Amino acid sequence: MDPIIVGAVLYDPKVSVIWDIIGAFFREKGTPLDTVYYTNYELQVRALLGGHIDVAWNSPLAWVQSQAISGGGCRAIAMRDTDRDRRSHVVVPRGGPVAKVADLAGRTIAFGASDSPQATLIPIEHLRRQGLAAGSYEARRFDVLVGKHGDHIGGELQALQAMQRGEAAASCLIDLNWEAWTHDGTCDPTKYEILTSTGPYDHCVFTVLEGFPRDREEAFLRALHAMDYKNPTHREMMDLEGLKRWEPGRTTGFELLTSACREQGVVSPL
Amino acid sequence: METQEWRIRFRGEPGGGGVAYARGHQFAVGDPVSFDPLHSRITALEYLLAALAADLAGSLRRLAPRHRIVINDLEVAVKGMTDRPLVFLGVVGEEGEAGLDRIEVKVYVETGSSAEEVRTLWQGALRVSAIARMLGGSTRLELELRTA
Repeated sequence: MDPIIVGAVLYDPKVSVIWDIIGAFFREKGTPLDTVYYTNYELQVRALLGGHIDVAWNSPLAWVQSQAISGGGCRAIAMRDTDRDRRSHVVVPRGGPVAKVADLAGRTIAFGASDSPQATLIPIEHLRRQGLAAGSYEARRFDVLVGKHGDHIGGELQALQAMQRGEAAASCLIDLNWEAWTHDGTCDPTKYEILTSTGPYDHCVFTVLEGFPRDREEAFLRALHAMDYKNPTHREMMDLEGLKRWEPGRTTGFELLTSACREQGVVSPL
Repeated sequence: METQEWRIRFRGEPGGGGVAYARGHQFAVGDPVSFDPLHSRITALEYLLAALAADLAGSLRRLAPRHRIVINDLEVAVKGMTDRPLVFLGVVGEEGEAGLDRIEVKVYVETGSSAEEVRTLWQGALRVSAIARMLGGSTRLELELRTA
């Protein structure tokens, strides 16, 4: 069997360790896998649609872009358990002047990188649906590693810190970071609270073109789903990638982001 | 004088790395570079840094007798650094060429001789350390001698 070529975006060389472990396991299972790394998702989307790679480990925005540009010509074949039903929070100081979404009008809201689904695009869409139009507040974005779709938490963290310094009335972040940062001391939950949360959405997804051969897809999924959190080697990779189990891909969790992209004019031809 | 040559043969293995053969010896080599602290083999880059350390240490030992210096203890610490690690992985869209931006070398030498005598030995060792001279031609090599 020819190797299945998987594309992945790297923001840190340590992330390559994840793919080394996955590649070694796939080889053991008789499904050779090669990885091509990209600096940003635009390049990866282009490579997938151009047939240079077989499978793309896509951010949610890269999935939406792939579907939009290909006219629905992609399939979502697998995702992490932790990619499902995520939410983003808009966080404010407790006891401050902002008690409801409408109170944010005329104030500054801190967002992550401009292309971060979880810390920018989806929260803006959520606020719009709550009656707070994009022009009615000042958006302060923290553009850390644009092109990586918010994979790096730097932008989200800087947004939170700006709010903590009093430079913004609110900041936006994914639920996983809220949980982590209120437990590790980064954010004191007695001083800050969730003002509003978005609806559920899905995150990263393995994406293939419609024409990707079914037998190769089945081999890929068979090996992927054979990864076991009880196996210490797999656990190292799964902890690094933040999952306990691989799940089938689904496309029902991208409505919020698709709407956000449409409203904010994000998806553009490559 | 005839040209001297040294030969290495290397057999690659599926999944990366392989075995290097030198005269009657052989040793396993891992990936060219690795960012995994648990990578199962010494990488090619680590062998290069080790070769530099062994080169400097060996040159000091070889020249010490002519300076009437007895080396009681000798240790070399080498650190190779790059600001462009993603280039090593061939990341599409990353610009620049792979390479170390600088190599820091600290040589610790314990002798019964004066610091000045050891420094003279060190200067001599640098002239005959082929690997140090070759690397110094392409990379910023920061060498520091510490004596005791």
